[in-house]
This record gives sequence, C-alpha cells and structure tokens, in this order.
Amino acid sequence: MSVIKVENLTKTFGKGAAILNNLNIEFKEREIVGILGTSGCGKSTLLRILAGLDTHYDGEVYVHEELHKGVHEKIGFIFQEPRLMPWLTVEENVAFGLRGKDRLERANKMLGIVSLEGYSKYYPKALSGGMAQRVAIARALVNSPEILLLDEPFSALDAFTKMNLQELILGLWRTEKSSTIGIITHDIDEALYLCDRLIVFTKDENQPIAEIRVEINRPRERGDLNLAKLKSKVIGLLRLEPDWQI
Amino acid sequence: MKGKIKINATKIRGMILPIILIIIWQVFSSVGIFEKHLLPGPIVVMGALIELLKTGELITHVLATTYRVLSGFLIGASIAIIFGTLTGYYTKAFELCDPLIQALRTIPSLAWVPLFILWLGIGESSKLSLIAVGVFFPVYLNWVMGIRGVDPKYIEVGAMYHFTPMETIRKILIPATLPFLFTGLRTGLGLGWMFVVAAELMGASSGLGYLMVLGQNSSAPELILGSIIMFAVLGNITDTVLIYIEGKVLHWKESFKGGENNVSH
Amino acid sequence: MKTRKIITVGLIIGTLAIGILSGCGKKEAGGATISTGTTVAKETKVPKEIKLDYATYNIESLVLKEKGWVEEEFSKDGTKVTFVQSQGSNKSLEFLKSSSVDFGSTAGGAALIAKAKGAPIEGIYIYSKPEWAALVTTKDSPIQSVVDLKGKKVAATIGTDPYIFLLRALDEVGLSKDDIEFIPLQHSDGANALITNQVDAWAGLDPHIARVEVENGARLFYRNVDFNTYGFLNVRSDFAKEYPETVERVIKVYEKAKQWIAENPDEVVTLLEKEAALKKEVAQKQLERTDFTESIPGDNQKAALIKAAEILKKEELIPKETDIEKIVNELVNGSYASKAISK
Repeated sequence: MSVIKVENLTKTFGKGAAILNNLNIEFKEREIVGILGTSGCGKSTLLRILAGLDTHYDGEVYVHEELHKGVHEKIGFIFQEPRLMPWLTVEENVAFGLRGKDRLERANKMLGIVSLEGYSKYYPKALSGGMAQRVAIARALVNSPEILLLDEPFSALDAFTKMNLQELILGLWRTEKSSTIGIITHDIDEALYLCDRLIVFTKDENQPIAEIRVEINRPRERGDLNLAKLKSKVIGLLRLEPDWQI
Repeated sequence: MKGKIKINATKIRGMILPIILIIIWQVFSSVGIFEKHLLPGPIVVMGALIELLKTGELITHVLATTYRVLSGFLIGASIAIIFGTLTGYYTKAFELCDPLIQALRTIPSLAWVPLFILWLGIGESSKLSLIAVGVFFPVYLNWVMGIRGVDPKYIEVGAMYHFTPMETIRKILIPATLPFLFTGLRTGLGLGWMFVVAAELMGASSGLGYLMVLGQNSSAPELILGSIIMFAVLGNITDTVLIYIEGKVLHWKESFKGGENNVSH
Repeated sequence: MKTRKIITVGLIIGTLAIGILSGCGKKEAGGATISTGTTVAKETKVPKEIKLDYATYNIESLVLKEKGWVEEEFSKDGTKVTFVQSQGSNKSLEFLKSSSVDFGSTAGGAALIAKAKGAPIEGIYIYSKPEWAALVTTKDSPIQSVVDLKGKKVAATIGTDPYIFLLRALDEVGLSKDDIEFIPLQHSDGANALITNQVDAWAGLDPHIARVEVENGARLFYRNVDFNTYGFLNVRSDFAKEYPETVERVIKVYEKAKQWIAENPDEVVTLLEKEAALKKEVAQKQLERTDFTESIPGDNQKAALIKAAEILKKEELIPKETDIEKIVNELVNGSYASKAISK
C-alpha cells in the first residue's frame, strides 16, 4: 500500500518546457527513498509538491490512497536551511507548530532526542549550523509526522556533523518516530547509506532515468564494497564525468 | 576594569567636537565677530534659559511641547501600524490604498500647516493632527515594507503547520517586521519633533515653538537659540529612550557593530 | 585614527574660516554678520541697491511703490530699487536687522524694543500718526470692556504696536498678560481667528481692523489714541552713517508722497483699493484714522515712547536695566529729516 504517491504529475514553470512530465512515483510503508540528481532537475519541486507547499501542477497527489492537495498533518518537512525564527528561543522554535499547554514540555523532550538538552533558552544566533539544523529536525518531528520529507537537509554541514545527523535520521526511522522517509540529496554516499531505493533524475530528462534498489541490510558499513559498486553505477548514470577538455 | 575605561574613551571622543565649537562660538561672540543682536553667545543663551527655568516657564513650555509630540506620535504610529498590517497582508488592500498614500507622502510637510489650521483651527487638534500626519508616513512605509519583505521561507514554515492568517500575522509577520518598525518609529519621532515646531509657530500660546516666535518678534534671539537647544536635547532624549527599547525588544538580532570590530587586533 | 584627526582639524579650520569670512563680510556690507546686503562702490556715496519695505499700514510706501518716485530719484545714480512687503513691525524689524531692507517702517514702540535689545537702528522719519491699533471683538460678543478680557483668548502679533497697546490696556485696569490666554498670530491671521470665533478678542491693526468692521460688523471695544506710537521709518545706523545723503533723499521722496496724499484724497482711496486690495469703505476708514501732519522725529515722539517704555519694562520686553532716556534719544533721530525737509 502506498503511503504517498503522485500520478501523472506534470509541472511547468511559466511558458517553458515541463520540468516534470507525467510522473508516477510512490513511497511505500517503511521505505526510506532517496531522490538524487544534478541541480535543476526538479527534485526540490517534486518534494515540495508532495509536501503540499506547491499546489500549481497537473496531476494528482494521494496520501494513504486518498486524493489530497496542499499541506497534510501527517507530513513533516525539513528545509535545506534550518529556517529558525530568530526571535524565539530554541525550545520555542521547536514548539512553533504546537498548540496546547504542554507545548514547551514536548519540545524539550524532542531536544533530548536530538541531543540538544540544555540549549532550550539559547537564541538561534548563538547556534552553529549543525545545531540549528538539529533544532529544525526537532521542530519537524515534534508532531510525530508519519511521513518525513527532507530537502538536502545536510548539504551545508561538515562531514562529521553530517554523519551524526544521518545516524539520527536512521534512529528515528528505526524507532518509528517517522515511518516513511523521503530525502533529497546530491551526496551519493549519503543516499546509499540511508536509503532502500534511489530515484535518479538528470536535468535533461523530465522523468527519472533510473531506479536503484539498495538491498543491503542495515546497519550498513560506510566502507562497504557493495556500496562502492553501486556508487560507480550511479555516477555512470548521472554521466558526471566532465565533457570539456582543458 | 578594561571595559569601563573603553566606554569613557568613546564618550569623550564624542564630546570633543561640540565642546570646541561652543568655545569658538563664545570667543567670536565676546570679540564681536558675531553681533549680539543677531547671534548671542552661549553664555547669554544659557542665562536666558536659566531665567526661564527659575520662573518655571521653561518647564511649562517643555511639557507642552513634549506632550504634543508624544501624543501625536502615539496616534500617528498606531494608525500606521494598524493600517500597514492590513495593506501589508492583504494584497487587494495594498493595491487599493498604497498609490494614494505614496501620492500623499510626497506633499511637503509644511504644506499641511495652513490646511490643517484652516480645517481644524489653531487649537490643539490641528497641532496633534499635524504631528500625527508627520509620524504616520515613515512608520507606515517601514512597517509595510517590512511585512511585505518578510522572507517567504519563514512563511512556508508556518504553512507546514497549518497556520491561520491570524497566526501567520501574529507569530511570523509581526516579529519579523519589528526591526523595520523601529526604524520607522525613530524616523517618525524625529519628524514629530520637526512638525511640532511648525505647529507651534502658528497660534500656540505655550511650548518651545511659541518661545521661538516670542524671541523672533521681540528681538530676543537668545530665546530662539535657547529653544533650538532645548529641542535638540529633548529630541535626543526621546531618541535614546527609543533606542533603548529597541535594544531590549530586538535583543535576538545579530547586528553590525562597526567595521573596526570585525577585525581582531 | 589618522582620518579622524584630519577630519577634526578640518572642521576646526572650516569653522574659523566661516567666522572670519562673515566678519569680513560685515565690513563690506556695513551691517549684519550673516548677509549679502549692499555692496560698496568705492568713489560715490550712493549704494548700488536700495531696499525699502512697503506695507498696508504705511500709506506713503504704497504711493511710492505705485508711482515709482524712488526709482526716478535714483535713476541718475544707476541704483537698483527694490520693494519688499512687510506684514507688520515685527517683520520689518527682522528685515532691517538682517539687511534684507535698508528702510523699514515700524511702530515706534516696536522699534524701541528692538533698539533696547541692541538692534543698531534709528528712526529718521515719521510717516504718520495713526490711530491704527485697537481692541476688537465680534458683533455679538459679550465683551464690553478691557476687564472682560480676563481668562479669554486674545490674539495679537508680538513685537508690534497692537501688542504693546494690549499690554497697556490690560495694565490700565490692573491686569497683565498672564490673566489672559494670549495667542500670537500675525495681523491678518489674528483678524481671521476673530471672525471664525477661534479667539474671543483681537488686538488689531488697520487696515485689517477696518476690514473686519466693514465686512463682518466687528466692534472696537477699546480705543486710545495716545497708546499708538507713531509710524517710524527706520534705517540701520551704519547705513545712515555711510550714505547720509541717500537717507535725506529718500525722506524727500516720502515727503513728496505725503504731499500727494494731502492733495488727492480720492485718488488715495483708489490707490489703497488697488495696492492693498481693500474695499472702498475700508480704505476710507483707515484714512480717517490716520494723521499725516508730523514728519520730523522729535520731542512728541520721544515723550510717547518713554510712556510706552514703562509697560515694556514691566512685561520684560525690554531688559530691566535699560536706560530708557538714552535709548529713546539714540533711536529718535530727526537730523536727517530736518535737513531734508528744510532744503
């Protein structure tokens, strides 16, 4: 059963060619799906449509097999930048979407999960990039969204923070805080480490050019040879070798 | 200790120029280069002010003028914020009202004076209205610019949490626009002080502007200068208060503290 | 650091330069510090430009402006003649002090205040003895006399004869400015404020008084001829010292205008209608209340001013320590007029 899917999705910006054309993509229960591709291929657009942030498209979006348009309470979204409200403390930021008397309590619990307990009263200007992104993750998770969508969440962070946060995502998925995850990334290692399935786009095509299954059991080893083989395959697909001569 | 010494040096540096200019002024007056019926020296001016202080007149005038400025400021700013929130958030309202407001904004402030006096007379209502008009425009413009310029990224975060329009306005737009608001408030306050002068030049029976008219028409230029000095002092005090409030409210902001401070020594 | 030092030094030099330059300008212009004023032609004793004021309260000035007699008189010297309108004694004094005019017409009392505060002026000609000031109220107003003014709103122009008139009238019945709510307004604005009932009474000046009498039925509830302090034509002392002949010649032209007024009463009314935009009855009323007999400033004027000085000191318009006799003697200077008119 699909948790979230698009059918016949076509998206055009202005009078140009369609950036996505008659797409049919679905995420199944308990999947971690990676969307990979070079810049400008439409992956952010696809994710924003899934999240309901973009409602100008042709085609249908289904959540749990029900036709839906716009934001959905079961879907959480993590943006490329933390997008914390600078005038709120960390805990107030995490509680941003919550209503009710116990909002700060729940927020602080979530801070514990992302290892930021003790930072509740700090303001975003005092946080490092990695810490801020963790707060954003806490904010997205505090409502326990069944479906979590992430748009290049770690692209601006250093390698060590990245790996830590990837573990965090896996941990959330394992403990079923989020059941189904879709993540956009241009980091092939990251995609192969986290995902069950990779959907690959290039900017020359408005359809995915390939779907790759990663059938390696978790926990995976980052240095695994099998992962390396898959990586070459992906690189080949993306035709990432430069085609200019110096 | 080190921090304390640093602050004093900055303050002293700021006082050097004014003190030098005042000394030059007094010297020129004593020597006669500045004629006393045209530009009396600082000692004469201070003398006049102290006289007024002794009779209690100075306090009366200061209170009258300050009351007018602050009242007009509150009225003008409030209307600007309410109005600005509407046109900032609702595009239709913006398209309806903004062109008119832009057209009115370009009317030179002093051109309103005879009109308001014609419509509202020479009593307090024309004065307060004049000041409110002066304050309205900068506050409104900054506020609207701020609201319409709020990073849509923040608004998207609200969208993900199903914010209602009221929630979006209250939780995102208003806090994000506060820095612009304070810019507008400070400008507005400055204009308020300017407009009160214009308002008091016509038919006021009290206030620092009235003192100016008195000095102008009874050959007492020291009153004119004294009045100007009092305006500067009061304007500065109110501005400082506003800056202080701004600092408290906007403590969460990262701000630019001056080019030299970005380089480590 | 270096830039800051340069800026500081630069500003100090700049300020000194301005001070010195304005000091130099003073010598050239023969008058105030901040002005351009007249430029000196080295050999002749006639200025390159003469600026006179004209006003609805100085009827000769209106005649001169219309007839062009000043321009005629000075055409052989190639002197430029300019007329500047004044809205009241207070304005004329401002213009005189800042050298915006060389000949300014004021009430004697107003000139006295300015002189006592250091204005370097002299009254060299009497253009009229008007009864131009009075206390005015509306047709239906309950105010009948000066005592009724207590606690009321009264408008007047600070530094003019009507203002002094008001103070003297109040003093006469034991009141002072603090007993009324005083609203400073220029003469025409005061008249309007009375008519629109924004003030209860107005210490007014002709022809504005005449206008509201004729057009709105306003009432003069207090008159006192002796409280009026003559119409003085004033010059700055150093201008007179430098161009004594010019002063005499202007006085002569003024006398010519005065003569013309005496000989052509009907045409004067027409002139006032045109130049001062007054209705016929208004112009007639103003003329009725104006006496043109005296021209040379002398003892009569001095006596009137000394009387006025008392109240001026009381209201602190003149510093307490002023030597009234000395100031009056310095202000009232009939020498130029005596020379000009006897010739």
